[in-house]
Amino acid sequence: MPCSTSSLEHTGAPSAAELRKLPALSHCDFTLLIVTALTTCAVTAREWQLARKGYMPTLSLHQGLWARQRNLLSKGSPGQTVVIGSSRIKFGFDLEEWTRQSDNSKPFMLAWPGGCPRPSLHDLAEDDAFAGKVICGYTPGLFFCSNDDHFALKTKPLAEYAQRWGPAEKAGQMLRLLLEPRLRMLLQTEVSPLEVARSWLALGRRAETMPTPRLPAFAFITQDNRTRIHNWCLTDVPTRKQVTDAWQAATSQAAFYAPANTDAILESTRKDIAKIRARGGDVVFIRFPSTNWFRELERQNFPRQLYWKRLLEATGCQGIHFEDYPELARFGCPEWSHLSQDDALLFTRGLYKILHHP
Amino acid sequence: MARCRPSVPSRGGVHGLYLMIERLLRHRFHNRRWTAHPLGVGLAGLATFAAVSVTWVLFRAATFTEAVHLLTSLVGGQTDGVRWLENFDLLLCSLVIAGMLASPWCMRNLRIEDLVSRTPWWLLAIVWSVMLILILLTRGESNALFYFQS
Repeated sequence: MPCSTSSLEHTGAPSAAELRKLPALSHCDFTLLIVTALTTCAVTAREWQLARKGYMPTLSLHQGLWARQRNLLSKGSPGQTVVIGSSRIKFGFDLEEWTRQSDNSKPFMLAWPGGCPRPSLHDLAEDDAFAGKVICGYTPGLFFCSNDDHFALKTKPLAEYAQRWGPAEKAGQMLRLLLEPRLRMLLQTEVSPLEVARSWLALGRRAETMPTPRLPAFAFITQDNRTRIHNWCLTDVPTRKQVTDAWQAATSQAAFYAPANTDAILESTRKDIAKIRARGGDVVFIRFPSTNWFRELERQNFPRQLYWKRLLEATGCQGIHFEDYPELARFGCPEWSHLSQDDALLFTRGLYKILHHP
Repeated sequence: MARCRPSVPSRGGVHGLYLMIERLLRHRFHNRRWTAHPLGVGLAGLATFAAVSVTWVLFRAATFTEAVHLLTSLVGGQTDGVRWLENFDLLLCSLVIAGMLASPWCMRNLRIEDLVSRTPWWLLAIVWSVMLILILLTRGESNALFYFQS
């Protein structure tokens, strides 16, 4: 049987057995026409179907989104403001409003949903060229996650990806920026054919399987790596229920990992912040609102005295907890964990005033 | 165990080692009748698939430590591990693996260009369309060029 061989083996002209002719194709033009027509029809039909159901196109949560911002930061001046943290600050920190208030350049958003900000803080600490201000969102369960927690520590590879940011990665991200905001079929939520098949077959989970949070398309992502809740979601009870179910699945993952070493986390955070401060930078922690079941869970598992207060004491950083300021405590979260677009704007305005005109 | 990523040279080394083994086995068992028997071909195919699958762990794992954990897990050495795959994922993996085993078996005496030449053009157009549509609709990360990963 003739077989394909490595190109390294060719030392001269290929033998007759190695020659592989292109297949003789009849009706090439028709074939190409049919492929183009069928593909166009299928894609158009899927787009139309998703549009009718109310889906909106959005950027995907690809590492390239983070890496692009990180590399833009590297090219900027050393004193830039950077936002890191988890999804709460990604939803709740309005970059445009902050820029309007500060009359300065727009901060870089490096927060990542469901992610622990410690790896990003470490990345900034190790960057000798960075001497700016870090606004770090604090979500207790994610900041104090176990070192084994793959879900929360998915932020670890982000910095590595940003470091190997080459022409291929850059081109890939440019294509995503071009296509994803225009095509609904590229949504990575429940509209993906595999997810459709998963819910259609409903095969269930094996006992003791890691719960997987499955989020509906309830928010959209912008080029500057911000995320905002769709306004229609604020009144859509079934979608909000799907989202809160996903939060319950996500938080229950922590039980599968060994407990976090709080002392070690505090020590490594202190060291990273000391490095940033030594270069003239600074770090401020912000506790964004959570409500209902989520707030109760956090009160129970991460009491302020044992975690938030210790974090501020260990690092000597300024910390803004929403519960301590009436102008920040008045907001509710439609799905227990994030601010709506309008509230994010007001929260950011209030936050800016507290930080700059105490 | 050093906590470093299995490097490209180590992956290339394993690839080279497999080629050497293949050449040695081919030389050693060249004229044996059982190598032409369907059972022999099937077993050899399964052994090759198993060897390649195990090697993929090295290609995919972020560190040697992770690779060792995954390999020991594959042979039942991790009793306290976390279950990640749901029933749907298991079904999907099984279907993909079945396809990966079935396609070379069906094609063992055929070349892809011969198959394409003898397939009616309208059927080819439909098959290509379905493949293209599925690629467009089912998004995923492409890691085809793993040799470019550090």
